[in-house]
Formats: sequence, C-alpha cells, structure tokens
Amino acid sequence: MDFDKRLENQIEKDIQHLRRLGYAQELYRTIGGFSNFAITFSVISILSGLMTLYGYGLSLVGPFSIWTWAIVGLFQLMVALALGDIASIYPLAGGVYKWTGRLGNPHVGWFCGCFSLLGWLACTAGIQFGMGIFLTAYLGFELSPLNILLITAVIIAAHSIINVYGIRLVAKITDFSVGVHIIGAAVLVGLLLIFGRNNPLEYILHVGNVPQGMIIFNFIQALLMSAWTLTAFDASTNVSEESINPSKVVPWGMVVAVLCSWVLGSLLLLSLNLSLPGLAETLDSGFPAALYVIRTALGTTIYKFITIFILLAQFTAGLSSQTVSIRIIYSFSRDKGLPFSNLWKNVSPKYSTPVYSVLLISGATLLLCIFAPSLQMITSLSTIGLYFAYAITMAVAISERRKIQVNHGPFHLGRFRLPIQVISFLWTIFITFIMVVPPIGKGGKVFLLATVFITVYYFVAMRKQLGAEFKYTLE
Amino acid sequence: MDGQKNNFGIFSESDCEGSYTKESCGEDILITPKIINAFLRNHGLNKELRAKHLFAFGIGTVITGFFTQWNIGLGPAGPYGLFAAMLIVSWIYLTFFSVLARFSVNYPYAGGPYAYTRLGLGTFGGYLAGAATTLQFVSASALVLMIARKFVSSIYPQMPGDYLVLSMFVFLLIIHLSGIWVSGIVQIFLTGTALSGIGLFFIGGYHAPHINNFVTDPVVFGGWQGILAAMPAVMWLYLGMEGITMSAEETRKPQRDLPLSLMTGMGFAFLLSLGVIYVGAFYTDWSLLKTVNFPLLFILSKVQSEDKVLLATFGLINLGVFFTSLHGLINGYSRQVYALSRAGYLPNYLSRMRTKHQTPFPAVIIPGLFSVIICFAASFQTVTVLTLFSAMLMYLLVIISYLRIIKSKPKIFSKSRALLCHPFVLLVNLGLLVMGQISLMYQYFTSVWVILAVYSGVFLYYYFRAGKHIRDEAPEETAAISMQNKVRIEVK
Repeated sequence: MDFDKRLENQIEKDIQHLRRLGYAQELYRTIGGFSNFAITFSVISILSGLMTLYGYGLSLVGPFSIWTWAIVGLFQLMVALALGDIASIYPLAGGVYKWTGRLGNPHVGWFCGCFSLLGWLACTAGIQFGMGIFLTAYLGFELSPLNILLITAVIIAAHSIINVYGIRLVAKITDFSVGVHIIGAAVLVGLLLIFGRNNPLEYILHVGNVPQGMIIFNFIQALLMSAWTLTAFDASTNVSEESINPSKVVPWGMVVAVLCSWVLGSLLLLSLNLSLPGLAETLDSGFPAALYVIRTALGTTIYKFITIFILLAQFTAGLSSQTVSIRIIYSFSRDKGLPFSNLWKNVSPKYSTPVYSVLLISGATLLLCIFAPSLQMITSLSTIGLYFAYAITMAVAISERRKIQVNHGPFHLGRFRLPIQVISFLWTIFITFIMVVPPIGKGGKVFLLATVFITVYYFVAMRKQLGAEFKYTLE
Repeated sequence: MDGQKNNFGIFSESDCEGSYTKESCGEDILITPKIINAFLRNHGLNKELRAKHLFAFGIGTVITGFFTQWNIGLGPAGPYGLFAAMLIVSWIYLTFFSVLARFSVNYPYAGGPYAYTRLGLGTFGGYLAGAATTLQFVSASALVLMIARKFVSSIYPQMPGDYLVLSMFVFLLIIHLSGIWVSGIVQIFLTGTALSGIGLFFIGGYHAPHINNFVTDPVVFGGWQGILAAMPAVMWLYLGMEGITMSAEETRKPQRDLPLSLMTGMGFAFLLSLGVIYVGAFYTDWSLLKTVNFPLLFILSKVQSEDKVLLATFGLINLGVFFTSLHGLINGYSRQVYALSRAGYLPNYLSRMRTKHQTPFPAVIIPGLFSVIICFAASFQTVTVLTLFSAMLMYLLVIISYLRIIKSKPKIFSKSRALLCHPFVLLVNLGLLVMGQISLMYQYFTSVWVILAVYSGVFLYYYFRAGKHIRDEAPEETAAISMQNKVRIEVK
C-alpha cells in the first residue's frame, strides 16, 4: 500500500514537472527503471553490433581490435554521463532534438534532430542488414547480395508489422531482449572460454599481417566496430514521458546500460579472440567471422543453438531501433519539422500507432540497404549521424552550461560537468571527422549529400517557421 | 464494493447489509476481519511474484521428468504405448489443472491443495490433501537428490558426488531463505538454463528417430496393460507443477497470474513432452533406452558421439536440471508445510517467519532435512511409490472436493460445467487416477507396506494432535467456514 502511494505521488510529481516544461501528460507513465535500462541495453546490443562487425575489425588489426572497444567504451561512458546530465533536466520525448532546442534555440535543435534521425535510420538499417547476413548464413543459403537483401526485406517487414499491430508486444520483446542478451552473451563467453580456447592471452596484442606503418591508420579505421556498437544510448530518452521518475531513471538507465555493455562486450571479444582458429582461415572462410569462430570452436550443434540467441538479439535490437526511429519521426512531424508532417504524425485510430511513420522508416531503411554498397557504409553513416548529433548537443551544453548548472536535475555531474562535456565534445567530433574524411571515412559523400539537403530544406521551409517559434519562446 | 475487506477480501458483516439477506449473512462467524488481519500481520508472505516467476517455478519443478524416468515406460508399453500413455496423462493433468485454476482464482492461499480440499471435504479432507502434498514434494525432493547423486557418480566419477549434491541443496535452501524475490529470479535463470538443455537436445538429436519405428515396426504397442503401466513413468513430465498454486500469497495478481501460469505451463510442458517422446521414444534403437538412467544424454552420446563440447555442455546442463527441480520442490513443500502449520495442523514453530524477508524458515529447512535423510536411508523404488501415490491421492481429493462444491454450491465457480471441468470428465479422470493407483501398487507391490505405514502415521497424527489444534483464523480455514455459513467470499 505504501509502495503504491509513493508511486502515485511520484507520477503526480512527474506530471507537474512535464507541465512546467510546457507539455501536457498524454502518454501513460508505466516504464520503470529496469525497462529504461532494457531499452538502451537492447539497442546498444553487443550481440548484434559487435558480432556483425567483428570480422571488419579483425581484417584491419587482427585480435588487437579488442582495444578499440576499451577506448570507445571509456569515452562513450563520458558521453553517456554528459547526456544524462541534460536528460535529468529535460525529461522529454525526442531526446537530443528537444534538449538542444531548449538549451540553445529551435534552429540548432532542428539541425541536431535531423542528424540524429539520419543516424537512427542508418542504425536500424545496419542492424537489419547485419541480421540479414547472419540469417542467410544460418539458413545455409549462398551469401549473395540478392539473398541477403530478400531476407533483410522479410526482417524489415516483420519489424514493421509488429510496430503497427503490437506496440505492447514491442515493450514485452524489449524486456525479453535483456534476458536474451545477458544469457546469450554469458553462455557464449563461458563456452568459448571453457571449451574453445585456442590462443594464449597475449594473442589480443597480435595485429595480424599489417605493415608497421599502417597499424595506427588501420586501428582508427577499426574504431567503427566499437563506435557503431556502443552508441544510440539516447534511446531511453525517447520514452521519458512514459517513464516514472524520468529525471533519475533515464540518465541512470543510459549510464548503467553503457557500463554493462562495455563489460559484457569486452568479455565477448576476449573469448572470440582467444578461440580464433586462425586469422587468415577465419577471414577467408566466406562466412561471417564471428559465426565461423563459434562453429569451429564449439561444434555445429552448439553453433546452431547459440546463433539462435544472436539472431534473437539482432531481431529485438532492430525492432527497438525501428521503434525509436518512428518516435523521432513522430516527434519531429508533430512540430512540423519534416516535409508532409501531417501525414507522418497521423496516428491510426485502429492501431493507435503512426502507421505512415512506420511505412516511411521501413521504406527508407529498405532503400538504404538496396543502394548502400556494403554494411560498413551503412554503419559508418549511422555512426556519423549519431555522433554528430551528440557533438552538437555537447557544443550547446558547453555554451549554455550556466543554464544546466542552475537547473540541474537529480542526476548531475557537479564540478566534473565541464571537463566531461569538453572530453565528450572532442571525442564525438573526432569520431565524426574520421568517419567522414577519406580515406577512412566511408559515408562522407552520403553524409555531405544529406547535409546539403537538410540545409536547403532549412532555408526553404524551416527557417521562418523556427524563427517564429524562437520568438514565441523568448516572449 | 469498497467495504472493509481483509487481505483476502472476505467481507465483514457490515458489507452484507443491503446486498445480502439476513439469513445469508454470517451472524455466527466469530472470526472478524480484525482478527484475521492481526493474524496475517504475523503470518503474511511478501507479494513479489509475477506470471513469469510462476511459470518458471512450474516448468522448473517438472523439468527433471524430461531428462530421466519417462523412458521406464518404454519397457512395458513401447514407443506407441508410451505416446498413448503420455496423451492420457496429459489429459488428466489438463483437467486437473483446470480445476486448480478455478480454485486458485477464488481461493488464492498458500495452502493450495489443502485449502481447496478443506472447502469441500472438511478439516480431515483438507489435512489429508495437505499431508499428501507435503509427502509428495518432500519425497520428490529426496528422489531428485538420489537421481543427482547417481548422475554425478556415473558421469563425473572423479567428483565427490554426495558432497557436491548436498552443498548444492544447502545453497538452494539459503536462496529460499533470502526471500521470494531472490528465489523467483534464481528460478527463472535455472529454468532458462534447463530449457536451453532441451533446446540443445532437439537441435542435436532431431535426426535420431528412425522411419522404421513408425512404419515397419509398429508392433511395439504394449496393449492397454502396457499403457497403464507406463502412466506412472510419464507422470514425471507434469508432477509437481501444481506447486504454482502454493505461491498464491506471494503473487502480485493471483487471480490473473495463477491460472495463466498453470495453463501456459501445462501447454508448454505438453509441447516439450511431444518433442522429447518423439525424438526419444522413436530413437533408432529405442529398446536400449528402457534401462538407461539418463535417456537424453544417452541419445546425444550416440548420435553426436564426436561432438565432445556438446556432450560436456549437455552433461553440465543436465546436472543443473536437477537443481532446478529441487528449487521448485523446496518452494512447494515449504509453502504447504507453512500453511498447515499456520492453520494448526502441524506444530506452530513451522510457520515462524524470518522477519527480514518474510520467509518461513523452519518450513524450508526441516522438511529439507527429511528429504536428505530419506535420500540416504530409503530405496529409490520406495520413494518413487510414496511420491506417486501421494500425488495421485491429492489429485483425487481435490477433484472430489470440487465435485462436491459444484453440487452443493454451483454458483461459487463461474461456468462450473465447462468442458474441462464438467462432472462427467472429472469422474472419468477419477476413474483413470484410481486405475493409475492400482497400476502403481501392482507394479511396486513390495513397497506397498511403506504407503500403509506412512499413511497410518498421518491418520494417527490427525486423531491425536492435528485435529485438536485447528486455528480458525488461518485464511484457508476462514474461507471454508465462511463458505459453510453462506457468506460471500470475494478475493481481491
């Protein structure tokens, strides 16, 4: 009884806080701390991201690629802390788009939101395409582009159907996903370390046959593997208006999810590297590298069994990612921030979901998978979009740090705020830079094209509208 | 109805005004909500469980039955006979669980079978069902401990089997003493691991069945005697799932989650049974399985003999499976003993609570000690007979209680004549259970004296002690008294 009473009081406080921020409570507040963590953890999805790009990292610097995870993990923890600091003040659906709009102005908020949306779209496509490759290999089909594309299309369709028909099912699958990730990763790591060990611990310092002068260059390239996996942790901020005590649970959910993923991911990479049957043999197998290692080290039956966990993790991660993208589209179009906004924000009375937004996201991700020449290209684009959005958020946060200091929420960084923000800004700009600028950058051209399109649209349609909004906000 | 209700939603006399006639209102009830609430303050359990925990407790308790014992039925019945026995036993359990589900919605008490039988068959009936449930769960725990010892000594002979098994058992008792929340999480983890084992078995052994066993050699049907003899063996696929009902007072939404987890657990166990019997019973050399102790491991070791990692992993999971069942069984017996003690049938100290986590620690530890003693002192056959006999006796009593209640008070259960709970279906079930008991006695005739001795003790204990110390303020007793006095009972 006491617990129920406390819960009611907390929800009432949250509703008051939202009202002070200028919004009415329209969504049900039902999401607790664990579900918040679950959403972020399943979108980060080490079983999806790391397994998909493991071969990429291996081809560049061999088992040494594990160190990219250590570096990325450290800096991404800083970013999560810095974003959590802001999320605690503005527990609003829309994440970075709303924060930068509030801290800075609607113009910068809109730009930030556009890049975040681009990143999320590519992130969804990357997970779905990665799962397409794995599922094609698992089902025993030839890994031809057509086969992969057809299977990816089926996966996209399945995600879309679930998002249209069963929003409750999405929530249940997200919670279930945490179990799949933790049990799947724990079982895989345990089995590989007990039964599959082929190499000594020093093997993780081995860089393969890379010439001495190319190690740093290749290592920077290999950062993509870890940078793409350990991102998108602002997912839970999009459900802030449905969370109980969001000022506390959203930031903590992000930080804990990054920490857990960092630890589990380290163990996963370590066990894969120690079980590697041979670098050249793995890379020349014509099979996804991670799956090849598992199959060789643990035998066909265990491989078939454990891959079910990996596929389930990829499926749930793709679903969560698509759900977040739909929410961003919906949030954007509600503020008339997109062309044909009225169409995208239209919520189906039958299913209570923005059906056209779902179709838009599905179509966009499918197109991306059709026209992108490789998985690396899609994941690069995703990394650029998300990290650039974080960089904009950090820049705004640094310039408006007094506003944050005065209004800080229950989760705050205190005197460490500025150093953490500066480090986060430099880190996100660095990652964006290396992903854009050739020869490392693979998504630079598409990114520039998207930037031009966003800028043109801004000047044609948004500038005036956002200006009026800005004026209204100031008044 | 927002009147004054106690934790179990039993309406006080004032609630009856206006909505009930004077005749039906419980004027003669001496147990007021105030007394019950005071009683529950000292005897209440923490409400922490949800449907997923209950499902894990249900499936986890029976999971050992999929890894061992069912294959004994192949001897008298052969693959087809075993399959038929499995279908009959599944039908018995389906209807029995439907009855339990109906009871659990209206009477969500820790007593479970004791509470349900108390309603229809009075104090002695309730006591007998409670005693049978306790004996079933305590002896099943002893049996699983025996199986685990046998497993360790045959698969890992270099390991100190007895110490390993006992220390794991102590560990599980400690988990239970740490509170129902911890216990529920651990059970989900253990059940998930055990189900992974069955998944591995299906993936590794799906090609084990041979077409000859279906087409050219169907003579392996053992006749109706064979099916009857195989029924006790396949009962292990479901035996103990009824323990879910005994977590009623620890469930957040018992009216929703108890029937849901019972029926989904039943459905899931049925699907697993189909899979295991298909791959196992129709295995190329099924006749080899009649005498092996661990059939799934045996099949895998034959069809995947090269895959050492698979066999090693499966062996470890198989060991874990026994502890999954033990964990569920501990939960079952502890709640039953707690409820019987709370109601005065067993000594009061057995329902003492560990205040920090609200766990009945003597009810967890003392029957556990009995399990250990039985495990080392009794023979496998004796314990098997005691477990199966007690289980079937309890099923009989619960079904008879239900039939009596729907005859005398048909409005208590909604749709009381639905197909699965139709009196005719239940009477057929009673007949099947009686035949099962006879088959059991016939097969294990030499152990019948144990049943006679144990149940004589149960009767004598009631006559000299239990029947004289009943506490009417216990929720199970209050519910039964209220029903007898025609007072409406509404559970929150």
